Amino acid sequence: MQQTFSSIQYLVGDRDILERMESVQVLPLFSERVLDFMDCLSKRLMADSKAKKYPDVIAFAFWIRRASLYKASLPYRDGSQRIGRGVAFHIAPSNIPVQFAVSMTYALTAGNASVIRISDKKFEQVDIICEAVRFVIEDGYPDLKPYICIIRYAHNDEITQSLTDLCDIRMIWGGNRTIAAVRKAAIKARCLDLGFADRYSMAVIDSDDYLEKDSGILAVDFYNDTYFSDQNACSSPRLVVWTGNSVAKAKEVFWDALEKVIHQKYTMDPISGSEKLLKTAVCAASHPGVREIKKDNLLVRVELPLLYDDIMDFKGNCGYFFECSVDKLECLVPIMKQDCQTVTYIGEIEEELRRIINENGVRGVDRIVPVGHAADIAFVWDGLDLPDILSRRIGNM
Amino acid sequence: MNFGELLEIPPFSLNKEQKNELLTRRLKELTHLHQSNCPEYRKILDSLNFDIDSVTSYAELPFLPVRMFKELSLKSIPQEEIVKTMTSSGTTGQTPSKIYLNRATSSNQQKALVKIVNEFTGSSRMPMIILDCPSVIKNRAMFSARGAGILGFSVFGAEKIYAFNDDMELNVEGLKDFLTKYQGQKIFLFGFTYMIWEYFYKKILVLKNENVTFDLSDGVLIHGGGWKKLIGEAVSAQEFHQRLTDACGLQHIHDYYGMVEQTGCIYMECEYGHLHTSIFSDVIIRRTKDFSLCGAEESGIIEVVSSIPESYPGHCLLTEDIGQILGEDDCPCGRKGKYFKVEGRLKDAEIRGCSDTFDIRKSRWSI
Repeated sequence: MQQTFSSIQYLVGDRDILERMESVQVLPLFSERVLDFMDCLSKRLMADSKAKKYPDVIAFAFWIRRASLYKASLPYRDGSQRIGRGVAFHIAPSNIPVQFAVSMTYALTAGNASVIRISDKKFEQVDIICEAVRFVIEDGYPDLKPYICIIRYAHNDEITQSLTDLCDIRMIWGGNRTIAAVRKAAIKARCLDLGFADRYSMAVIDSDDYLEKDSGILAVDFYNDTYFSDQNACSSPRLVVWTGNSVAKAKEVFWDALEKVIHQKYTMDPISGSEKLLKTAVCAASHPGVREIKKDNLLVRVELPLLYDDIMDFKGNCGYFFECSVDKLECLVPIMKQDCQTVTYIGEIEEELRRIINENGVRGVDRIVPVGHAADIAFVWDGLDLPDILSRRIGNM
Repeated sequence: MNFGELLEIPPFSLNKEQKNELLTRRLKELTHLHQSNCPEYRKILDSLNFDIDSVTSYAELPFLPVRMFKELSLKSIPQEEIVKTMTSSGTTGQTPSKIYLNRATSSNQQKALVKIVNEFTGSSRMPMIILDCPSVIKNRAMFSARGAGILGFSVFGAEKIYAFNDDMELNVEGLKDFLTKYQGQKIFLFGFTYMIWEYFYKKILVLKNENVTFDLSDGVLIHGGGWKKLIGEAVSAQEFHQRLTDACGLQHIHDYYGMVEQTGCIYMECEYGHLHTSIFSDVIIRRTKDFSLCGAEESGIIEVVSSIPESYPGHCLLTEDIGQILGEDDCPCGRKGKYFKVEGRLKDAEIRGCSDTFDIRKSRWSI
C-alpha cells in the first residue's frame, strides 16, 4: 500500500489521513456536527465570488444548507438508531463537475469517511469546492479532517484495488464501461458496491393541461433540464411523449417557446449538427416512418410513428429529441425499461404514471418529477434511498 | 448518364455553369439509383422528407455523415457483385468504415484518379518510389486506405521500389541503386504525409550527416493522408515542402485531399498551394449552425460529392473537416473549378453530463 499511494495527488486531505481512514469512528446519520460543517461549507461557497458564475456550484451550496439537509433528514428521525458503515470510496464522473461533492455529501451525512477519486479533467468548479472544503475544515472542523480525502490519480488498477481494499461502500459514477473497469477490483466481503450507470430519461406532456400554462416559464424549465447540461445528464429527457386532445397545437407552442430560449442562451458545439444528422440517419435506416423536423441544428426533433422499444439506443444530445404521441399513457410501458431513470411531466398525470408503474410492474423509472426538476439534487437517486443504504440501522428486535 | 461520358471531358476544363449542369444531372441519377437499390438509404431519405423532383442543383441533395459507413454496412448491389471492400484506417478502438465496390465503381475510381493525376504529372509512366513498406498491400480482399492509395497510384509507376522494409527501415542501398539506374529520368514518389516525415525525411537528415545523400531534384512527390499526426511536431504544409526540398532537392510536391469513402476523386494541390476540384467531384462548404451554404472564404464543414459511387450510397458525404472555398474557375494555375483549403477537423464535442471517467478520448487534430 505504501508504494501504490505515493502517486496519488491530494486536493483535500493527505496520505496520512488516507492510511488512517480505516480506523476513524463512524458518525450517526445526519449528525449535528456534519450538518454544521455542511452549512459552513454552503455559506463559504455562497460568499465566494468565483462560484457566482457556476449555477451548479450554487445549486450544490443551496442543497447543503442546514435547513435543506434538516428537511431531508426528517423521514429518518423516527426514533431508530442509525450510524455510518465506515469508508466510502467514490469514483466521480468526468463530466458533471460537482457530482463528486454531491456523492461526498451522501456519504458524510450518513456518517461515513470518504475518499473521492475525481477525474483528470480540469474544472474550476472542482477547485472552488475543494478550496472551500479545505478552508472550512481548517477554520472550525479539524475533527472532520480524518473523514475527507479528495484525490486524483491516473487510471491505475493497483491504486483502485488498494482503495477498494479500504472501503465499506464503493460508489461508482459514470458510464457502464467505467463501472466495468472499476469492478475488476474485488471488494471486501461486506462492502456495498453501488454503480450509477448510463440511464435515459423522458418527458411526458399532457397537451390540454400544457396549453393552460405559461409556455415561457415551462420553456426555461425544460431548457434547464436539457440544454443546460448539453442534454447529457442521465436525467435529461431525450424523448418527449405527448398525450391529450390538443397535441398538434401544444407541440407548436412548446417547441416555438423553447426555440426562443435556445437562441438566447445556448451555444452549440460545431460538431453537434453532424452528430445529430448521424443519429437520425442511423435510426431511420432501421426504423421506418421516422421523420426529422428542424429549422436549424440547435433543435432537432425526430418524430416517431410509434414508440419503438429500442429507440433509446439512438439517443442524442445537445438538443436532440425523439417525439411521439400516444393515446394513453399505458403505451409507455415498453420503454419503461431498466435503464429508464427520470420521467418529467407537465399536466395532472403524475398519479396515473405511478399507477401504470405499479400495475405493469415495470423495471425502470426511478423518479417522477415536474418538468424543470430533472437536474435537482436529491437523497433518493436511481431508486436508492441513500441515507438509508449508506448507514446501518441498529435493530432492537 | 454514364460515367464514361464524364471521362471524355478533360478534368479541369468546365466552368461553374457547365459543371453544375453536368454534376447535378449525374448526382440526381445516383441519388435515384441508391434510393432504388439501398433500402437503408431510401428510409433515410424518407426521414429527411426528401423530394428529388424539387432539386435544381446538387447542393440541394441530401448528404450522409461520412461516419455512416462506420455505423452501417451500406451497399446498393447484391452481395455477389462485391469485388472489393475498402476500410478506413480509423483510430485504434474505432470501427473502420466499410466501402463495398463492384467492378464498375472500382474501375471508375481508378480511371478518374488517372485523369486527375495526369494533369499534374503528365501521362507517361515513371520509375516509382513508394514511400511505404510492402506489407501494407498484402491483403487484397480487405483494403486499408493506405493500401488502396498505394495500389491506386501504382498505375503511374513503371518499375517500382518500396522505400522501406516491413520494419519501416529505409532501404538505403536499394534506393541508391534505383536512383543510379534511372538517373536523368523523372521519378515519381508517392506516400503518406506522416510516413514520409517520420521514416523518410528524418532518416535522410541523419544520413546527410554521414554524407549519404539522395538527389531527387527530378522527382515529383504526391502525398496525402492528412496532417493530424504532424500537428504534434508543429510542421506546416509549407515547412514540410521546404524541408524536403532542402534535404533531397525535391521540387515538385503535391499534397492531396481525399478519403476512402470517395476513392478516385482526389483533390490535388496545384503549384499555388490550392486544392482543386475536378469535374468528377466537388466540395460544398456548409455552416455548422444549420448546414446552409457558406460564402467564399467563409469556413465551414466540408461536404464532398462524387460522381463515381454506384455500388454504395456515398456520392454526397458530410465530412468532419473544416475548410473554405478560395475561389472558382480563376486559380492562377489555369485549372477550372473550385479551389479550396482544408483548415482542420471538427473537434469532439466537449461533453458535459454523465460519461465514462476512464474513457481517454483521443484529441482530434487541427491543421
